Amino acid sequence: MTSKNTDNLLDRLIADAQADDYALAGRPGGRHVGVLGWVVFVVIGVLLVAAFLQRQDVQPAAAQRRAELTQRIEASSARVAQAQTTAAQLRGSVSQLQQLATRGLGDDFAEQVQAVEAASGFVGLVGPGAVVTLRDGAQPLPKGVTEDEARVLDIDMQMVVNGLWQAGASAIAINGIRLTSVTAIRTAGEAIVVDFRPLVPPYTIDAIGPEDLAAEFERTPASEELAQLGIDYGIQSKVSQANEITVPASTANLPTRAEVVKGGQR
Amino acid sequence: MIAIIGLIVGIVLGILFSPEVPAWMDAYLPVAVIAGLDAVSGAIRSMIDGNFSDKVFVVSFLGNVVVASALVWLGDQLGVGAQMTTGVVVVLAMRIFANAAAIRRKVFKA
Repeated sequence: MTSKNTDNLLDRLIADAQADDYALAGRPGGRHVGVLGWVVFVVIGVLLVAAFLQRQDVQPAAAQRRAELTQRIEASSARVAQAQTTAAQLRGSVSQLQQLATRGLGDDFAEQVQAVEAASGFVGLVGPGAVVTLRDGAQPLPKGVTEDEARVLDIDMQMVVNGLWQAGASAIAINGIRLTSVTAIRTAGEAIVVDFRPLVPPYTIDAIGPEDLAAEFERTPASEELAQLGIDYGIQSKVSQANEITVPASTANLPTRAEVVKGGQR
Repeated sequence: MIAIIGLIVGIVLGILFSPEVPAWMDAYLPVAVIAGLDAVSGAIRSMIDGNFSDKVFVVSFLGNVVVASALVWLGDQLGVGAQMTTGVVVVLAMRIFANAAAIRRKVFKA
């Protein structure tokens, strides 16, 4: 302990901490280092390396695990995409077989089946319609808008899709994913998820409908709101008419356990 | 000089054998290393002063490591482990600074 006799706790603490152990021990010493001293020096050196190695180990392990997970996610996504393609093909052949099977049941029945198939997204469709493209706002953004705020949101997408239905669209696909009555448009993290699959911007919404679908859409409130989004947040959008639009079959899980209710009652 | 040679021998040994640190030692290793650095800086200072003593060196190192680890362990039990580690590291760093300042004064006479 130093001879400084202060009342200040902090001063005393610092004085204690800085005390020279060797001087305080009051032993006659020299410069000679004995075996025990050597051992402790070596031990401290080993400790230093151990601590260093430990810190080094921690990060690569995490990065490695991350890479493994990414790989697994990518492999699973590829498998899902493949299975969904197969499912769409199988649905196509089911539809053809159904047409063959119902041939004898009258034109009415075949037409009804086709209408149901088209409406439920069971088959892919080709026809005239409109294409709406949405892009996240790019620099320069409107004053006071951050890049996060200039992103297209799931609600924006829902609004546009609902506008298209309102304008008379009969089939819609977003970035090649068919919308059905059981397809949700949601947000997961920063990505918009349609039919549980994340979308990569820019967003292309293909809609099959009447010849004047684009013009009809421009008359809906959704179109106005979309324009307002462009002014407020810098979200870029384009609506154009197209003569031939291809919308794929849905890959959503159709309700397989549901039964048709006769006469609207059980 | 001798202290630094010993330290380098230890570092080389450590690199050669790359010791695995058991998981339960995670919290105590950094504190032990700081205590070790404190002991080494104190030893170098005393060698320059000419009053180095094996016994003081070994006892002060072991004592500091034990007290520092015990404090961190106690802090862990009380839920203030991280703060306790900070406190221990601050005190030991202060000692290292004081020793380094003393060495500087002796070596550079400034």
